[in-house]
Parts: sequence; C-alpha cells; structure tokens
Amino acid sequence: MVIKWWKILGAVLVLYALVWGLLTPIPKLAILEESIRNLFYHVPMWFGMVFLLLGSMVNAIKFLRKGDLNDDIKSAQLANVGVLFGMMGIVTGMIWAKNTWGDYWTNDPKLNSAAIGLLMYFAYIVLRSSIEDEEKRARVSAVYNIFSFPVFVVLIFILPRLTASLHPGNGGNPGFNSYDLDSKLRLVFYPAVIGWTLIGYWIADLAIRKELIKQKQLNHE
Amino acid sequence: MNSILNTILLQAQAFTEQASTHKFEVTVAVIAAIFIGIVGYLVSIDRKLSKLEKK
Repeated sequence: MVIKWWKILGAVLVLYALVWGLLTPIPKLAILEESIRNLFYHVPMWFGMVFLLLGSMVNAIKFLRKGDLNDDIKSAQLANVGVLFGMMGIVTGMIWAKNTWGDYWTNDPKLNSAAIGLLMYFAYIVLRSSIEDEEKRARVSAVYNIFSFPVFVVLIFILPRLTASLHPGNGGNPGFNSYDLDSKLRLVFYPAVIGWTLIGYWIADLAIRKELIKQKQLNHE
Repeated sequence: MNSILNTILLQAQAFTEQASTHKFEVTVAVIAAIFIGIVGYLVSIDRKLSKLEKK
C-alpha cells in the first residue's frame, strides 16, 4: 500500500521544477527572452523519453537472455510511455519553434531526425499488435527494439551535430553553456529531467502492473 | 497539500513583487494545484493496483 520513495521523489522534483521554472531569474537572451523557460518543460520530455526507451531496450535484452514474458511486458510499456513523452516533446517543440524560429516545422536536422525516430517506435507498436503468438511477438519485438534504440540515439544526438542546426549544441550553434551564464538554469533543469524521468517510470510501472494482473487472470481462466 | 500550496504562493508573491508583475503567483499556484491533482490520481491508481495484486 505504500507508495515507493522514487515515485514521491519524482513528484516533488517535478513540482519544484514546474514552480521554480516560472519563478527563477533568467539571463537576458535575444529572441528567446522569457521562452528560455521552456528549457525546463520541453527538454526534459526528450531526456525522459531517452531514459524510458533505454529501460525498454534493457528489458528487451533481459527477455532475450532469460525468456521471461514479464520482461517483454515491461519493455513494451516503457516504450509506450517513451513514445508519449516524445510526442509531448514534438508538440512543445513546435510551439516553441513557431515563436522563436518562425515556423512550426523547420528543416532542422534534429526535428526531422526526431520525427524519423518516433516513426520507428510507432512501427514497433504496430509490429507488436500484428503478431498473435505471445512468444513470437516478444522475440521479434525485442530484437527490433534493440536495433531501434541505438539508431534513435545516433539520429537525435549524433547526426544533428554533424550538420548546421538551429538547436543549441549542434552544428555551428553554441551549446547549453552559452545560456548558462550563472548556472541558475541548471538548478531547475537537472531536477526537471530527473523528476520527469521518474514520473515516466511511475506511469510505466502502473501500466506494467495492470498488464501483469491481466495476464494472471487470463492464465486462471 | 494546503500547506504546500501556501508555501508556493508565498514564494511566488515574493518573486512577483520583485519583478513588479501582477498576480503572476496565482497562475503558478494553479499550475502547481493541477500537477498535485494529477499526482493524487496516480497515487490512487497505484493503491488500487496494490490491492488487486494482493488478491
């Protein structure tokens, strides 16, 4: 009945980041101005997504090693929440882009890469729903998952850095450090990333436990 | 929960007085209240699942 400590920690960190993200003093920046506060809301979605998809891949590897179907359920639910976070990242990014870069969708390499990456995970979800046999579904989707994650990492973290990009830290653009005159932003940003990641794992935990109960009931019948 | 909201409200008031904006703290408190509500919902689902697991 007791709520696990990391769930409460996640809730507290996100609450802190929500409130202090609005109240903290920010450096004066051209173009971005007050919208730099999106750093505390938009960026943690992507970081949270990466950690969730990493967890999904780890469980896929676990499944292939031990063949426990519970690991397959964990892997699938973590991927679902990861995709949800990614979609939040896209939507919030589009709003931000419209108001700073002038368009909802620019041909920025990071945007297109992120879109391709998310499509790969949509394909993962479709792939899962298309296979009836549990064992087979688990094995095929685990292999797909293990290939998807490294490709996604290359797509969103490596390729955009090799070309010109509007995103900070990519191409000829200055990184996070140039915003970060007094590192006050980090004081909110890092807790936001950790907090949202934990909230993501909490939501995935609920979905996993629901699936496990469903599975048990099916086995009883 | 009320005490958390009160602390946030006081902090936000101090901030907005400094920045000479008006009633911004109200919006901050509203956002905090919505998030607390969502967390409360997560907690209730979590507890229900624990009960089901025990059966």
